[in-house]
Amino acid sequence: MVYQKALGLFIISLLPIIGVAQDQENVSINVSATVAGSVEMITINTVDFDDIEQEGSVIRVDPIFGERAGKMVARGTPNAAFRVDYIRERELMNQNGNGVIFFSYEVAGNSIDDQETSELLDQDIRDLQFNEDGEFYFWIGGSVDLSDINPGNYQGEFTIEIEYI
Amino acid sequence: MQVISAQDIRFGDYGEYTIEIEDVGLEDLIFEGPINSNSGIHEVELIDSKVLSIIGVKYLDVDVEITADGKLYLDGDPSYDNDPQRSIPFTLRASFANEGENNVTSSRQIGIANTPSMSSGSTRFPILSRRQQPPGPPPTPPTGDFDQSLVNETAYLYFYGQIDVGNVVAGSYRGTITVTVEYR
Repeated sequence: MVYQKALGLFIISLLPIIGVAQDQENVSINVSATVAGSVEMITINTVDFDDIEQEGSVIRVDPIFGERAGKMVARGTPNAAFRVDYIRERELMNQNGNGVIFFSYEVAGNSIDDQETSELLDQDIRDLQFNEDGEFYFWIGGSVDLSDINPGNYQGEFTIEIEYI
Repeated sequence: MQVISAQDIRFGDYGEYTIEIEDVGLEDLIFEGPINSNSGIHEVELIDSKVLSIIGVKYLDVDVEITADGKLYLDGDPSYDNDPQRSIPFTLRASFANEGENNVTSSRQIGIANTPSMSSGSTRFPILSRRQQPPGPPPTPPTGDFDQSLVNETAYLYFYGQIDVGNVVAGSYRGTITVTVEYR
């Protein structure tokens, strides 16, 4: 019994020495670089104004709640931050003759594929982020005033700029 | 044949001296963007180095060993070692300063051998430079009254280098540098 006690004390008295002795140290340093890739824009749906219900002379597709909103997905560097800008108002030309209409775009964006929780991108320049799969979703709507225009088929472009930060 | 060794005493063996390595600044060694595929050499210069401080007994020598991945790997995954589209060659450079100040201009370069798979180098220096004087007498080993903080000084290690960005896929590339510091 006495012997066991003595051994126990001996081990305990060694511990502080082991704890203090530290004449070597290791550290690791992380080295990192982020390579930005090109951005690919894929159009999934175009904005659909066919036979749309009209309120007065203005027709509008809501980018967040409108079923007729256009949809695009941008593919880039996973988790990378980017800035987006788009042209707010665009001339659409009558393909069948004279006439121009001015289309006002409204764009909403979301890092997940869910239109209803998307956020309206209404400031001039926005800082956004690709999701883990390198994707970001856009829904495109807008409005046009149809008073005083010639009948016809009007077409125009939508331009959105994406730039890595 | 007779081999005659110079006298070499590891004074560090004769006492319980501690050594500490601390980060100066919290950042990693980061190659700042924008970095595009096929954009060639990107450099972190000495003045922008990642800095470590070594806090130890000023009159003792330390051995510093440095090893690093020879490449940065996409998502830090070393299985891309042979995939030139998912790895970026990394050339490590390092230097040290032991004049008691964090000052790159007084630092001296550490020889690093860079190979495609690994970079490594080592050096030995006193925590505080003896400034061309011969070493003094051996230090008194610590006794019960020894307070190491009275004889501590700080030396600095600087890590910098370059990457050569080829035709690689976009994403986050990472590698690791391992530093071991030990009293001689």
